[in-house]
Formats: sequence, structure tokens, C-alpha cells
Amino acid sequence: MKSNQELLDERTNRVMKAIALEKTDRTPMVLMADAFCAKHMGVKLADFCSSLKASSKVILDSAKALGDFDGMNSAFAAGPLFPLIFMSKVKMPGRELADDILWQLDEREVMTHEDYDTILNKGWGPFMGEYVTNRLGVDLNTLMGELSDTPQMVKNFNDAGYMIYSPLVMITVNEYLSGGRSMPRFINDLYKMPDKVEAVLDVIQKEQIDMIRLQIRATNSKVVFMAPSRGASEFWSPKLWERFVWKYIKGLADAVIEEGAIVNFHIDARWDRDLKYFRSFPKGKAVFETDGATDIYKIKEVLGDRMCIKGDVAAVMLALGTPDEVYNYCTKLINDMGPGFILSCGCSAPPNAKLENVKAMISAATGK
Amino acid sequence: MSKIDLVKVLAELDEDMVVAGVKEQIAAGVPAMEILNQLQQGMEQVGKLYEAGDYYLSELIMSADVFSMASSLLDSSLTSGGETKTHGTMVLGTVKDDIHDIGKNIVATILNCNGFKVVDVGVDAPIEVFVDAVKKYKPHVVGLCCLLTTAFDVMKETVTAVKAADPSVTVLVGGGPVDNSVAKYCGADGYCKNAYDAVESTKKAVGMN
Repeated sequence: MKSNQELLDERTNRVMKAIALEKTDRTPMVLMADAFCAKHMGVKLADFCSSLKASSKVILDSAKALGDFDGMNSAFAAGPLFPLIFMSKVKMPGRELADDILWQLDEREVMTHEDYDTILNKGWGPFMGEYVTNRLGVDLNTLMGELSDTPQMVKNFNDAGYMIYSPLVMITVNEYLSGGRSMPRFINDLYKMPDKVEAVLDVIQKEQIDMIRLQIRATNSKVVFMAPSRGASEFWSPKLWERFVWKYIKGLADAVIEEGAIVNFHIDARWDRDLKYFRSFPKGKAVFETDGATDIYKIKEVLGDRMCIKGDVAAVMLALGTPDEVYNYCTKLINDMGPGFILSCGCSAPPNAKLENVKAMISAATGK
Repeated sequence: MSKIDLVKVLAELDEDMVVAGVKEQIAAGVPAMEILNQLQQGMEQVGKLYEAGDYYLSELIMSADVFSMASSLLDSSLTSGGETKTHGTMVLGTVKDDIHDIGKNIVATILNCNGFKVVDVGVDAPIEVFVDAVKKYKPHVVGLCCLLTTAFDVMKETVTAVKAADPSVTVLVGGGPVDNSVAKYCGADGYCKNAYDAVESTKKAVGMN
């Protein structure tokens, strides 16, 4: 029987080989799951979200109960961090919502046109700290204190033999403004004051790149999770997309790769039109993580020789499908995608994913 | 005769020209309903460009902003002429325990722009709110939205309750994770993948195409 350290080494090696587009002994499987784990372990979402540590323990317990798969995307729940990611308020279970209702963004126009000037004059960091604390009501000191425990939370998973796939998380800079302004207002800004928005994004981008370089060096993270979720091709005209989405994806990803890390593009919604742009990254240095909205076979055709693909068992299938449907879908993916593929759910496993469906994913990956 | 082609400049999202065109026609004494009709034709052009893949959500949102700005110039004229005639009514809302509203609001705006009356019951809407709205407004269509897969069950219960209240009403579902399998699971009459899909499905429900 293998020790947990041996399992961790084997699983990490399997995942990294898949990212490098090399053959593996079996298809790796990494789960992106948080609220699902709470349901799996019978923990109310309010308790699950009471602290990052509490959520981390529940996710680890869930992983152990699920058994033989390679790792989790993250060591703790995402919901409490949403205000820092989307610059928007979030309604939490046990606070604004009933105890067992999933956290949800309460997106409103909180950021103003005047804030654009403040960012240009003072910089993103000083603005963001004040904004998140005073206008979103986040206790930033407490949250940062909790985040400082990340290395220990990651170690807990590692000690149990599981890889934490992407301990570092970042968002593309346009998402900050899209969330803070609200998406319709942000789009209006792109038509009414494009030059100013671009200048603001440039300020944020520079600080973001400086920060991610420091974080990669400090943590020695192998994979960095980048979420350009609202940058989907289906939302933007090509002209807007190139100027306000791709430019910032490319700049940020290039910096991550320069630092020696892998960039994991967390791709929600449909990006079919613009897949070719992702060919500009060096071979084996990026992962295209898809939620199933973009045709995974199209991704394979356009990018399969350049980057690993991760996905894409849809939330709907996990919630409404049968174990046979999930198993057959995963098995077909594994056969069709070949090397350079990591089996995963599309985006995060939903809280109402059926346990037997998640187990069916594991069975397909392990052959057990 | 107006010098500015309102249909064309709206389809091109030229807000300044749209506003100038509306003001020009008001000054020339063109009836407000006639001007509104031109704006709606412009939105139909936007819809065609969207369906053709030439326009995206970004243009859709911007066109709705331009339409709202232009039609606000007609508000007093339209009101003084009595109730504006519409093609039909939709009761629209996000189902209980789901507070997401961006998609719902886009659908409401685009339906409005295309000549439909929308009764928006908001987000996190309990089943009885939809049922009460159906009884009060007698809509042709009820639109249910959700972004969470955890809302599928309450969406299903809402469809059942709405159909019990009015078996003739058409129930459409939509939202991020929703597809045909979800529509089938909920017993809905159809699934809309985007706002213009909702317009086309609503037109069909009221017998327009």
C-alpha cells in the first residue's frame, strides 16, 4: 500500500505530465468543488462558510470519502472571497440568505465613474482596499488573516495524498470593473468612454502583474488559476474583445509563464470564435479549463497540440443525469481527448450534484 | 420627411443620431407611436444582426440603452395617448432562492424594446408570486430564470403551479445552466438560450410567427 506522500507524488506527477501533453498511466482527475463537499458531508452551508479553515476541513473530508482521484482545485470555499474577485457584494448563507442556500453575487452598480478617476490618480491597490472595506463591507484584515493560513490548508491536503491544483487564484482585470460597475454599465462605459476605461485597466493590470509575480515567487505555485469568465467571445464583438479582454488575458498569462508557472484558464461560457488566440502561448505551459459551453472537441481541434484541456462534465449532467450517463460521457471524453487531458467537472461541481454521479467520474478516470 | 433614418441609426447604435432623429420627428409633429414603431424596427434589425452573429451581447445591451434613451423622449406623448399597444404580455422573474438578475433584466429590456409588456416579479420570487401575477395580468407567456442548478426543483414546482393556474399560458425557462434537458425536467414549454430567443419564442406564443 502506498504512503500518502507516494500518492501525492504519483498524483502530482500525473497531473503535471498531462499538462506537459505527455502520456500518463491513466487520465488524471481534479475536482473543482466546494459547496458540493458541504452537501456531501452533511454540513450546512452557513457553517461551511463560517471560516476558510472550516470549509477546508469539510472539502478534505469529502475528498477522503470520495477516494482515489488526484486533487482539488482549491483548498477552501470560493464564496467568501467573491467580493475580492468581483468587486461586488455577495449574499452569504446564514447572513443574508437562509442557512443552506448557496452564496450568490448581488451585483449592482457600486463602482462609479468618479472611481475611475480615483484609480487613475491613486492607483488600484489603495482604491481597492478602501472600496472593499467601506463600500462592500468586507472585513479585509480578518479575510487576509484567514488567507495567510493557505499554506497550512494546502499542506493538510498534501498530507492526505491529494494535490491542490491551483493554490494561486487571479482574475483578469476587466472582471473587476465589470463586477464593480455591473456588466451592463461596464459595457455602456466601453462605448461612452473607452479610452478612460482602457487607461484604468492598464493601471490595474500593471499592479496585478507585479503582484502575481511576487506571489508565484513566494509560494512556488506550479499552476495559477486565471478566470476571465465574462470575457467569453459570445458576449463581445471582436473589436471590443481584442481591446478589452484579450489584451489583458495575454499580458497576465505571459507574466505567469515567464515566472515558470502554468496558467490555467478557467473558461466559462462560449469561446469558440477566439480559440485560435490561445495558440500564442508556449506549448505545454497552459491549461484550457472549460465548463462545457465551448465545444470541447473544437478546443481539442484548435488547441490540442498546444495546451492541456481540463473539463467538462456539465453541472446539469451532475445534477440531473444518471451515473451511467456520467460514466459513459467521461469514458468517451477520456478516449477522445487522449494525452493532455484532465477530467474535471465543468466549472464547480454544483451543490446538488448527485454523489453517485461524482463517483461515476472517478470510476471512469481510474477504471475501477 | 425625416432626414435621419431612425431604423438605420438605431441598428448602428449611433445614440447621438437616434436622439437627434427622434427630436427632429417630434418637432415635425410625427405621432409618438409612429416614432416608437421606427425605434422598434431598429431593434428588430439589431435582433437580426445578433442572430446572424454580427452583433453580440455587448451590442445588445448598448442597443437597449439607446432605445431606452430615445423612447424616454416620447414618454409624455405616449402616455397622453392612452395605454401603449403591445404584442402581448410576459410575466418574468428569477425563481425562489436565486437572486441573479442580469440575464433577466436583459430579457425584460429586449422584450420591451420589441413591443411586449413585461411584468417583472423580480428575483428570489416565491411560487405564489408567479401564480398571483398570472391571475392578475393574464399573460400569454411566463418566463422563469435561474443561474443556480439548485433552483431546478423550485423552477419545476413553479412551472406546475403556473400551469395549474392557467393551462393555456406558455412557460419558458432560461438562464446560465438551463438547457433543453432542464426545460424537460421542469415540464416547461420551451427553453430560451438568449434574449432574442425569448423574443422569438414569445412571438410564437402570441401567434405572431
